[in-house]
Amino acid sequence: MLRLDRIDVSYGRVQVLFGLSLNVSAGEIVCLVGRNGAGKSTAIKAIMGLLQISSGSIEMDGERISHYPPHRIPGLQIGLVPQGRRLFSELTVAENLEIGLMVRGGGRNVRQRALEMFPRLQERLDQIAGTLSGGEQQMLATARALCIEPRVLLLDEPTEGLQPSMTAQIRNAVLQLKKQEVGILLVEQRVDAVLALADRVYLIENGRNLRDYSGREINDTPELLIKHLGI
Amino acid sequence: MRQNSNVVALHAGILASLLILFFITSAYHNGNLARIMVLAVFAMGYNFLFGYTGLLSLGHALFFSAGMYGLGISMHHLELSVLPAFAVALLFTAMVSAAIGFLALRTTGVAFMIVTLMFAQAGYLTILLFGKYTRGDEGFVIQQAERTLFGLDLTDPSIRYFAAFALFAASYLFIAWAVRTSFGRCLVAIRENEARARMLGYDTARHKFLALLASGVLSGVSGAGYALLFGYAGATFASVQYSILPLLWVLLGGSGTTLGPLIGTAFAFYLVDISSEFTSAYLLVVGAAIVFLTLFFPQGLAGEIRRRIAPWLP
Repeated sequence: MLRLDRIDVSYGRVQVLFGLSLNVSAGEIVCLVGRNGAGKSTAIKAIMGLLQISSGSIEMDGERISHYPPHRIPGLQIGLVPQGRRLFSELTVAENLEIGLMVRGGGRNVRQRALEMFPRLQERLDQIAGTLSGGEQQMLATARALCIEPRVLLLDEPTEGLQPSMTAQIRNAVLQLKKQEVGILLVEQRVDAVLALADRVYLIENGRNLRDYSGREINDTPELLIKHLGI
Repeated sequence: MRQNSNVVALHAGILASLLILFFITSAYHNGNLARIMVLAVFAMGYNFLFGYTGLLSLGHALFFSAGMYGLGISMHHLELSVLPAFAVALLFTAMVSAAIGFLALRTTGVAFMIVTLMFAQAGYLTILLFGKYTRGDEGFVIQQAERTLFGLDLTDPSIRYFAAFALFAASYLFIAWAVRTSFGRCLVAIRENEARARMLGYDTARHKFLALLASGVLSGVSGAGYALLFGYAGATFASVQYSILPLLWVLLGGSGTTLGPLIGTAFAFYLVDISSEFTSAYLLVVGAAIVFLTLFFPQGLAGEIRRRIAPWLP
């Protein structure tokens, strides 16, 4: 479904990704793992059209999308839950969801499905997003991304800074989406999060593919991951 | 649901109040209110760009004067009747707004403010340069005999009041509708954080261009309405003062609210009107009032009402 084929990305003169490749299929949770500065978030930005690639290609269902402007990407049902949530903190929960819905003209049913996944938000629709707890903000950022009915969902460190109960809710939501045949690309630094969810793991270092592992390999020998992450 | 009915009741109440005021206030205040309603359309146009989209322009006098001269020159020199002249004014303002939008929106923040200010100054100087047609600072009067619509004499105070009301009501309802559409919501998202809006999948450049176009045309409607109802077009209305005034009105009334521009325009108008009765240093009073309001009502009058009493206020 989503395929990155040997992409190079630079910030000005500084090259950050060097021939990075990965695939995400329907109903699959793929984890992109690496240390700080490895290029994980850069890969996400490149997929979303927020950074231009200098070589290689990004394809969705065989359609080359690397040259698409950012506003066309969500139209392909590629959703993003960005690192740090990036909500409209002065607007209410309902308004944040509405802004998400309008991207693809989603109706009440779409909003309802997103809220069913996070019932806590239903009680806080009129609350200003900036006043929610960190976990609730993460739920809102995820619900907002679901408003485009994604076929591929990119999650950039979704459990960062969350308490364990909230982390569990986000994980459950990811597993529910997998059951709905949504392809998930999960960027994570937390080994426990990766172990619990991954069908496949791409380990990257200094913007390059280092190794790929199946979920089983990682679960059987988690020290593989721990060794590479240096934890 | 309850909020929706509140909003509808508010809009209906505002319009009904303006109609009722005509019957219970003196001719002097009727004249003032007619002027306030026309200028409030200018403030609403400004608010659409500043209050809803977050773009601070210092050049809206250009759009106001484009409408004013579009209508004035069409009637005065080309001898067009009211409706075709109004259409010319709108078309001309739309063209000017589109050109300014195309160029100025390549910049952001302070650069956008400076670029719009420079374009407005260029417009002002152009009006002076073509003094043969525009009569420069002195301006020109649109004759009373020309200012008739469907046989109605627009110079008659009652008809002028209701014409100003019609112009205001149409613009007010347009804004009230536009800000509730998905387009309007997207403008709010851009105001809050343009990068996030783009990341979510909005073509923010197109939205900002359309917002500037709508804002410019509304300002042009106000300028054309002012020239038509008060019979005068002059370069003063293209000066930098008329770029600052709508910003002031919107800040006083409450930016990003549908009601704020009307409240701010009326407040500023009567502040000058009343204080100038008591002292020739009325600008000092105006300045002090602005400082007071900025300190204690930083979100403007309607903004404070929304914050403290009625969070549903649109």
